[in-house]
Amino acid sequence: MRACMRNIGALILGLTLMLSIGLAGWTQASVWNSLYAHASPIRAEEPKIRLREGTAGTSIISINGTSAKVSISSDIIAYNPSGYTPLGGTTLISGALNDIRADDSVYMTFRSCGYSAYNESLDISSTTSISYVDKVSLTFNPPETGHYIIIADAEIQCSSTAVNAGVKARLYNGTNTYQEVIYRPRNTAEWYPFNALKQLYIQGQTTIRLQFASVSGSSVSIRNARLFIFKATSVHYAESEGRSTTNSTLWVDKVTLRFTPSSEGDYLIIATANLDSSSTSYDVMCRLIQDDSIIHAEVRRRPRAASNRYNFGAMRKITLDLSEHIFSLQFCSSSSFATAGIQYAHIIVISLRDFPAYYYQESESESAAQQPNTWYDKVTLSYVPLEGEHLIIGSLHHTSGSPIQQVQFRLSQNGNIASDRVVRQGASMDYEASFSFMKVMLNPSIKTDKIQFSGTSKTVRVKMARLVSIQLPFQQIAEMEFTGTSNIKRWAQLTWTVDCSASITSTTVVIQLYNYQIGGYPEEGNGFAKAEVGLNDSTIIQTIRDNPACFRDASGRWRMRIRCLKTRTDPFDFRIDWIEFKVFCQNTYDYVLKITNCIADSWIVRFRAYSEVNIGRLYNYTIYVYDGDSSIQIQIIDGDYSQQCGSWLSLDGFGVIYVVVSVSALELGISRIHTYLEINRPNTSVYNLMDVEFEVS
Amino acid sequence: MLRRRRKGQTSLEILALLLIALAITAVSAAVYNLLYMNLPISVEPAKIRFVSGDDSTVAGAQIGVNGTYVSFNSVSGWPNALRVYTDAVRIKNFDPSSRTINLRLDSYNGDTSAVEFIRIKLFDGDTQMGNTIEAGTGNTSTGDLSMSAGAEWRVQLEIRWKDGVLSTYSVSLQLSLVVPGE
Repeated sequence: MRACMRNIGALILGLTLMLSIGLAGWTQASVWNSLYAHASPIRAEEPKIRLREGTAGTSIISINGTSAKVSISSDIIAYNPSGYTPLGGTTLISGALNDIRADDSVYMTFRSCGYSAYNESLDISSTTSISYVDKVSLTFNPPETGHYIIIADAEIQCSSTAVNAGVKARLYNGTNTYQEVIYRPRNTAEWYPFNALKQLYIQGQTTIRLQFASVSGSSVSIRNARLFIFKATSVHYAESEGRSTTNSTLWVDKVTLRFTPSSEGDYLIIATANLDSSSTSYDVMCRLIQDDSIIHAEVRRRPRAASNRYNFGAMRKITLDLSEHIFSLQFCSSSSFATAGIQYAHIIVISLRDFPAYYYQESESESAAQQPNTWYDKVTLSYVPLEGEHLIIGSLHHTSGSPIQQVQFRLSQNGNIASDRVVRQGASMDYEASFSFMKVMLNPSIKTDKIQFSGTSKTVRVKMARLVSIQLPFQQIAEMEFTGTSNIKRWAQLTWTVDCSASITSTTVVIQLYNYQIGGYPEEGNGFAKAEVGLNDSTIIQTIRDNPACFRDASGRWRMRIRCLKTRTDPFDFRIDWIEFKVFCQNTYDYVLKITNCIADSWIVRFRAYSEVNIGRLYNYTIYVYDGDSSIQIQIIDGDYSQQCGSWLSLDGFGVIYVVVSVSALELGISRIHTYLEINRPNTSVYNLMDVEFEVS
Repeated sequence: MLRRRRKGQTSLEILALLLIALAITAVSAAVYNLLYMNLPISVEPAKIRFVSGDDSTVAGAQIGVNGTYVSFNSVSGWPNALRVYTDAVRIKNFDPSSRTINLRLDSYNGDTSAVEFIRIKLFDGDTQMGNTIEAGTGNTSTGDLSMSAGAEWRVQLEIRWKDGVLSTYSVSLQLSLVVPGE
């Protein structure tokens, strides 16, 4: 019973605690207040501003005219040449325009030509023909028209000493003779010199010939024949090619060269002529004199026959100041009883500043052959040249001192003999002058050039020996002009590409785009590029953003001149793999949308870009609005925003604003610019946003 | 140490329990007693009130005399375009101390399927306070927000109707601004 009562008591105590907790909770309840906001109705209403389709591009407008997608395209158009012209003497070897439309190692190949050309025939050639036959010829197609200098050199021989027998040689272009030697030897062992000099105005392909013939049908020979054509920048030249005669024993001018040098310094003077005398008892005399005082050459020759034409050739390095100078080739007779003649007289003075380097030595004093048939060095020129082509000229006054003696003289380099002449003069007083030359490729190691002489007796003498080695600046050039068409759209950028190579290393390629604004090919900056090109293809690219349209004419035509140059005298091949003229058009779409106000109230509007996709390829992307005045709203320059939000424009009651887009891209692809057209009520902060997407393909 | 219980002690305990049980029985019974409490209830200005914003007039806002109620009757939007009432109405704390507020969506009806979204946001200047209320589809409350003394926040309404919606369409919504405490 007691236990039962204890349990009942515990139950009552538990219930009491539960009720106490419940009452406590009731007394701590929260207090709050509710304020109410009610919006009704929230209505859909007709848009007061509507977007309408434009007349350019493609516009997709939503049903209510409250959003739009505008699609436009950027034009990147690549053009290839549609025509070409090899310039100067450049010739097409293989390929066609189709071959340069892709970078695919299929080429148009051009053969270079040069501001110089050289040919030689060193072996002995013989003939009995009394008509001239070629010993060596040179067909030259210069890069540009102008004056070119021709020098020639050979040794001629006749197998007969009969008085009517003889050998002759000439410099000839197919029409005209510029130099002629007719020689009847006293000894069949003679190798008489033939020198020629001529400045010729060459306009196109020209063939120059060094020919020889027999006077009467006896066998005649020629050897060590060399023919060289070159262009020099600073040249003074005079000639008198007709035959002049005189009985005077006083000097008579045949040709005079008078000029004032533009710069002081070293010059090279070369003179040639062909001499004759009517009497085998008297001599023809000739000299080259400077300023009536300095004698650079003086010769005397007694002829074996009146119809002989003797060689006169002389060279010397001189130094000129800035005063006027006069060079004269004069002649006279040793007796008034004889008539002296002179023909094909030429004087040239070339500034040595035009050449990269030159080396010179002379020995003006007279030397005699002390021992018969012994070689003596008359003048020696030792030097370490720069690598490159060199023209080496040796000039010598020589005499055998007797018709029965003979003088032998030769030009050599490091023991390699370039010319080897043997001459018997007609009288003891005779002295003749001649030069010989060679063209060699030199490396930068020591070189020793020599003029040596030998004689059959002590009567043999030489003097006025001069040696010059000139590094040739002469260039081979492959030059051509390509033409093409394009368009007359507005261009944001022009990128031209040339992929090319050459058959030799280290050529210099100059590429020029014709600038129609300046009316010529630029020499620097846009439209001009210079690069070194070798055996493997090189890609030359230039991007023009500053007024690229000046590189087309009003019809969109363009011209590109390519010159590949190399300092050398032998032709090379220039290969073009690919030429591209790529234009990046700045297309303007006027207009892509119009914004119309459907009510009488005014609004203010503007565009704001809020997201974008792939805009890095855009070069110039501009969204304008136009309502009488244009206002740039959004602009992307070089792949980044320069303006992301426009200024507010007033859209008057029932007014219209036009949206214009201008775009250029530098890569293919698709770009998107997501914008809001923000439409505000003036003087409130209530606004509307319309989605307008601009897509650029 | 054991303590012996005295005779009659248990009986007293039982008696006490019975008295308590009796008292409980008296409270639960249909028979009751009336006690009287004097409770004077005064009217005081609301600590948190609606006040006009820059766009209240455009939105057709009518604020109750005491600032405890606001009704918008001119809110609208264009199909497929976003209409924003940046400053439809403001909420201001007139209490000298901070108050907690919570704006809640109570009801949303009408042509709700024609609505792409309706959003209500609270801003202190340019700083959004709490969550965005998105009628129909998303969050229905800003959450409890502490509003400092004297603070004035703006209510931004954003409406976007679906494309092609006719001008006869409408919806309505009701919000309550809960302010705990006296």
